[in-house]
Amino acid sequence: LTASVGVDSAGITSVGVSEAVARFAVGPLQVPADLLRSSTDVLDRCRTVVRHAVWPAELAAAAPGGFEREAAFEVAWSLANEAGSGGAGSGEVGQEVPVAAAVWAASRSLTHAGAVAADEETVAPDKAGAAVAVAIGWEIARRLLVVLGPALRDQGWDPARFTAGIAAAAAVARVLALDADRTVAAIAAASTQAAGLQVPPRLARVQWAKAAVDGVVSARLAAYGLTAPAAPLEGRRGLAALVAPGTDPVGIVSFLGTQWWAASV
Amino acid sequence: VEELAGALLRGRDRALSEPVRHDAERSLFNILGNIIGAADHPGVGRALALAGEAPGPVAVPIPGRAERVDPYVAALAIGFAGHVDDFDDTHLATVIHPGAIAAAAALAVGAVAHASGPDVLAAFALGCEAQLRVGVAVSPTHYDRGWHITGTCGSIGAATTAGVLLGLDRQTLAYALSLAAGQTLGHREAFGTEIKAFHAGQAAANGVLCAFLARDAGARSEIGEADLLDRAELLAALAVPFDDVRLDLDDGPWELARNTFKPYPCGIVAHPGIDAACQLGARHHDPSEISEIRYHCHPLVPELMGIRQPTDGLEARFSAVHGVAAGLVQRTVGLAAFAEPTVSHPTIHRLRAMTTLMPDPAVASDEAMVEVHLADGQVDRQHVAHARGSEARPLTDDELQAKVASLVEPVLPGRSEAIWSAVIGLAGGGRLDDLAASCVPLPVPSRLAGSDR
Repeated sequence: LTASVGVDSAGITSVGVSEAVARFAVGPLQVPADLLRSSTDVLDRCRTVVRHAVWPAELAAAAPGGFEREAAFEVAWSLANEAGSGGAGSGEVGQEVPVAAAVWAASRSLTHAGAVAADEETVAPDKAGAAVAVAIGWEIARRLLVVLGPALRDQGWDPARFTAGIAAAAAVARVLALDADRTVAAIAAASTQAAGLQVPPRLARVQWAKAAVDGVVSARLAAYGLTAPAAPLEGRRGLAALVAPGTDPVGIVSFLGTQWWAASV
Repeated sequence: VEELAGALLRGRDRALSEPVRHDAERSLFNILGNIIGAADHPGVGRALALAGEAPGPVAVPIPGRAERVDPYVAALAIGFAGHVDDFDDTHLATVIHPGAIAAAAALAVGAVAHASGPDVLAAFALGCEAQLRVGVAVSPTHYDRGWHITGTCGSIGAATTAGVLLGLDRQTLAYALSLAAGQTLGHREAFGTEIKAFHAGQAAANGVLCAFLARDAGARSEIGEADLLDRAELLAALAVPFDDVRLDLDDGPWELARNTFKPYPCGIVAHPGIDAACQLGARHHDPSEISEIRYHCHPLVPELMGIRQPTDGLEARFSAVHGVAAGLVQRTVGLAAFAEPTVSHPTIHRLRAMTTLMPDPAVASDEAMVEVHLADGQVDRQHVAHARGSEARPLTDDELQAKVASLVEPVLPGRSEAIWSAVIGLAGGGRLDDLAASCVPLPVPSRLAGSDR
């Protein structure tokens, strides 16, 4: 399926939805100042959040990969816990939480002592770079939520959680400086893992935290070369066809990069 | 979900009594062969790279490989390896491949829990059964809609295997299952890529994570009624409507008994034709005497496996005429039949070209009639009523051992019998550590390791 997505900053007029999301995620762009400020704030909350040691010791490997997964999980879990996610479902936790937790963990693991394997050609982003990655993930999460959310909600999924892992993967792809092709693979790995039900708070916290881990792992596996479908969001059996049949997935990328939906939240 | 957890825990004794026990042993042995056979697949290396360089506090051995990694990555890598060659197992009623996920969870958590042999076997059997019961409950709607049922039901099954091995009580296991219901995965869009096998690996990792989280929450007395889903919620998002009665493990025969093992690493619909071709090949050693081949087959054969002249191993797996040609020439059809030099061999090419698929609605899906016309005008026919590896004609233990040997021996020469013995020994008190040791390369003595620099 090929979608016309208007003219993006690279002058591309007709690419698939997944590829358009990937190009947006890792391409050059100008993030609105207020969204960038909010993204920096949530990253600061990641840095200061209390460690709850909720990731089991058996899984908390001392290795860098283990650090990244553990940190993403614990930071997202702790922020969701702080938000109090009371009442039915998890409406009080924003999608920026798993996105920022994943970006924070991936950025930290790149700068963490001894954390980067010698053969990895990745560059640790500065603080501003991490904030841009969060803003991009936040925007993708918002767009997926707006377009797919109503159908997801009707079927019993938690729409915000369901879409957040995909956004986290795209944001981490930017942190890892993946190209657009590998970013599509990261989105594919996260898209096929999209899940999360409307559940009580204790279960919801784990779902939020898992979205952050899925983002990190999806981007890493893509960086390592995992082969993946080219149209995970808009393909014949892709995400939109599966959970929102009848919804045009092109809406996800409508004026992407020129209109910012997250900024108006 | 607490009822489901209770039924799973009550199922432990049945899992260890005949015939369920032997079904579990066969499923476990079959999948270990697949895991070891695919140990060097690049995707397994990609999964293991997630672990970084140091294994952390608990190091799980990976069958067929020298690395030891943490349980989450171990489950991911082992589950991936088990499914990546599509040569594993199939529960035909749901098309679930249950073995990879249950084995991955059992090996990953068994290493942590220092589990006994009977516990490992029971946890493996229950993890398979949980996947299959959930699968039956949501079939056929769920798969038809586009979900990869192995991944979605796999998270629940892996949480079961991991939870049983960690000794979770009824409520804590119910919490693990409730967590796993929020971590189902798998779109059929990914078929044809490594992400299909990733579904099996990630489902196993998710179940392992959920069981650990539940154990720790249970230890802190944090779990209450309000934290558990009810049975309807567990499956509601996967398929509406679903048949929740099918979840009652206390009733009826085990679905695990209907798990089948692929004798040939290609599409299952062509298996009866390959059976017939292998038997004909044993009678006609000179393929140059063959002038025409007619394959009377189920109508799905040309639809699903209609490639006439495959150009690589993957295409050959979707070519019924290739399977027949390989059977006639090689008389056993293993991984080598779907690799070079076989795929582009001139004799195989010629036999494929002279084979006609003759779809016939009167032919059952596990049935075939293959006719070989010889240059001297004679015609030899072979009818197969039920393919090897079908529900009606399961692989014998000897056939299963031959299949696993063909997978294990290239990676770990001389080991397949030791692995069979270790699997059979679990129920009598054999240790998981012994089974795991039989599945990894011998450590290279440090004196030798340094000498070839």
